[in-house]
Amino acid sequence: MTNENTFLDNMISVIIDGREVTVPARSTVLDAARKLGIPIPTFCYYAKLISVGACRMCLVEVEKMRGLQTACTTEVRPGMVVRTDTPEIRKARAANLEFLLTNHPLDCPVCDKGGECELQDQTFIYGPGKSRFIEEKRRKAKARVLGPYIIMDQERCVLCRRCIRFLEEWADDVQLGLFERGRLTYVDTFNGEPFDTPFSGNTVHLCPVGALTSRVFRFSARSWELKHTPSVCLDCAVGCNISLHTKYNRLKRIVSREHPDVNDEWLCDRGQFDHRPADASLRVLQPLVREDGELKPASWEEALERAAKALREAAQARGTAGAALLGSPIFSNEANYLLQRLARGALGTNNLDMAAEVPARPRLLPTTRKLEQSDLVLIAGMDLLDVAPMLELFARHAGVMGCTRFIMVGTERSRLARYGRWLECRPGTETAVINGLVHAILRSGKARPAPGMERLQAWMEPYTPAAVAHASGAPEAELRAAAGELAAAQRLTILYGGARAGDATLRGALDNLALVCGAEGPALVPAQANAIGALDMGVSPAFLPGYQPYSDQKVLDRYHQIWGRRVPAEPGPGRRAWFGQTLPAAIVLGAVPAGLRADSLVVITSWKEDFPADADVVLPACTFAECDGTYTNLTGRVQWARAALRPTGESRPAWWILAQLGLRLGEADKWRFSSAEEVFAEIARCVPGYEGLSYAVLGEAGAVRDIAPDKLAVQEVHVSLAG
Amino acid sequence: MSALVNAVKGLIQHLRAMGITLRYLFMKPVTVQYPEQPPEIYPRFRGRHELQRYENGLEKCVACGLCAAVCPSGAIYVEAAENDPEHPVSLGERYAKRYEINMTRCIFCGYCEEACPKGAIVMGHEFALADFGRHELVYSKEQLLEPARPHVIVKQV
Repeated sequence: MTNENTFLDNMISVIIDGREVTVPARSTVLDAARKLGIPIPTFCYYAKLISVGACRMCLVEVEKMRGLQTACTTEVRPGMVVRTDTPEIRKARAANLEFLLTNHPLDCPVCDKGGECELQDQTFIYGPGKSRFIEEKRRKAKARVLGPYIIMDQERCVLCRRCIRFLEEWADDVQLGLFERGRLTYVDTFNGEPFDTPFSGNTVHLCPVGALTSRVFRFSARSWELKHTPSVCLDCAVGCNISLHTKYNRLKRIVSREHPDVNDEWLCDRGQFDHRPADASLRVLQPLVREDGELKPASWEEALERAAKALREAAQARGTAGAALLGSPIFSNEANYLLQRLARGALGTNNLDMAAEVPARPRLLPTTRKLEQSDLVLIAGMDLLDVAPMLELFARHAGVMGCTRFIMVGTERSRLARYGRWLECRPGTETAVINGLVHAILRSGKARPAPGMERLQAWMEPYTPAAVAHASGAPEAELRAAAGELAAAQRLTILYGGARAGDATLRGALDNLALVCGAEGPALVPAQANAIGALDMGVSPAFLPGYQPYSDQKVLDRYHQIWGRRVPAEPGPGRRAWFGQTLPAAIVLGAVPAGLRADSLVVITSWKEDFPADADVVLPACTFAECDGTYTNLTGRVQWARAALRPTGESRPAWWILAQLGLRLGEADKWRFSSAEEVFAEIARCVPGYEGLSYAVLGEAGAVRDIAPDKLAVQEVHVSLAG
Repeated sequence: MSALVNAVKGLIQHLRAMGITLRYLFMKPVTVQYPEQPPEIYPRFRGRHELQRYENGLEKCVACGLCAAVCPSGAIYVEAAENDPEHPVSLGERYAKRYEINMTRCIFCGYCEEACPKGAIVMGHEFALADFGRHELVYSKEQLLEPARPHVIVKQV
């Protein structure tokens, strides 16, 4: 019996199979049983979807209740006594499975779900062993192509509605529905429209049977043949946890790994079906060296010597302006760290930069689930679906569940606007709109106090909603209404980024907005997977690893000792200065930006499309699937992607290539690394914020690096108000 | 005295043994003059594998891979592909694009036959598999589909 106290604590005790368990109020009998480790079979139940009690597999006996109850929809009550394994329940489960199998085609040998099928497993455990159904089975459509990635077998479907519920509750894009009645019921798209929601791939792993399967994976392997390697998706900065499934050194499919603070358990189609890292036809297969005006295959030794010679000669001839080094927001922390070490610790220059616009010390989201914990989210100047699809999924879920409203400021309509407002403005006027919102909040008298508020008031004077509406095209009434919502919000989250990640005026305006709303500062959503990590590693002309300034002599001395050469204390000119001239020598990690010209151009890349015809040395790098590496996602979580495949062709890990160049250009005894793990160990020693991290600490879940963003302060931000 | 008795006993034993030898000289020989003469084997003898077809010519194998999974010596390689509905190779959506058995690894345990849900792979009666190179001993699907007639007599039991 439950006593007064546990009831007040909202905890309820129930007895299941003679064992007592205490669970929070509003838990279901199924939750309580799972907490005790008592197995209850289910089909339609899915922890992350609202239970519907449709499949009748989870029937249990509850004392003082008539008939059997569905465990997934029956809430616990104080003193409830439940039995999960009586002859009556066993009979009901067997009968249920027999019914499900009457019209199931049992084509397990050709079904892609075979071996990981819930119907298969449960039939083995709870099934009746044989069927009494000898009549002809119902025929439905087989191998029906639903969309670009999904193919359906309607005969196999058990009508659990998990796919439809996912589309309703998470993807907010109900493209599948149930048609007909009774045994004729089937799942299909409406009017033959394609099933092309950007999150369609999740329905494959949600489907408890082989009804919805992947067209990309189709028949390429059986589930038990696959080797699983934990990895990280690099299609956007969310860094979804994935598992690379390989067979005979071939990538067969990408499956999500559960991580509550990153991707929960979902993936977007862009990441799940991107098999380019394993496509040899797109790759550089061996080192290339320019010979008689033509790029020709060469040995590694020859190519590395050529690259080192070009960089050494440029550095000797032109000093710190000799070699230019361009880092990559897509390559691993290890590669980017060694690139900046090559610049500072071997070539003695700060003439390096990264091919992405990201502000220094960016403020980040604490977790990707932050949107669901906010009551209002403002998204400025980007389409979340485009920049970080998984954030869009969480945002849609929050919108559907009615816990979050959204204010979009930008040129493109987003689906999220249905859960809030869209301040549609002309391209480039987002900052003016934000200033207008700040003005309206200051005027309304609801602004939270902050230092420098009077100055801000004076600066914002010209940005009246009327003037901003005129300049941006955003309706004035909407502006005022949005300002009212922002001022009233309790847990406001502000997001910006994508192509506007480097827009300092937008960031300044959002800082002001956050201050007047009493919110945390605007969180950056970078467009590239490891933009944060590369920046943390110090791939910037303006600061050392971990955003340390050049002015601290102690830091310079320490790096001198570890790297072996004196580190110059003058900031580099940055990549803008590189264009419009021909550099003596340049080394580029990843794609060479258009317009970058150098007498000697060294490119480290995986892809054929990444380098121009006038490159002098091309060094083929492994993709993330072929070498170990760590990547820092948009919440500052450092995650370890493991090597799942052997290198394609003669490609080598980028860190190895850079270490080899370091051996030839720097103090040789300081450049002996034998694995990515060793490079990461040095990162942990040399990059503030990464202390204490190692591959062992990162494990499969990763760890958040510790770098605090700049403090929020009012900023003077002015933009044109010409219409 | 006893020496004489022993000598006589030994002689009798020797003559008895010679008798047995002489008896076999006039019996039908057990030795089979292989390869001139076909050997007799039991119907369930586990020889070289054969892939089966249905009467309409379609292959029984759907490349489910259970034979490869159960094979204790990892001798079987299966690669699946999707059937062209107009010109199917097998019954169902999938067929074996490649099906190889490495006879140098096979231990003729017959698990593959037992695991097969379609009765597609059976152990035949051919056992003379010697060849001049290891590569010739990796049997392709084509070879397995059309086995040579084994030079044997199946015992009637």
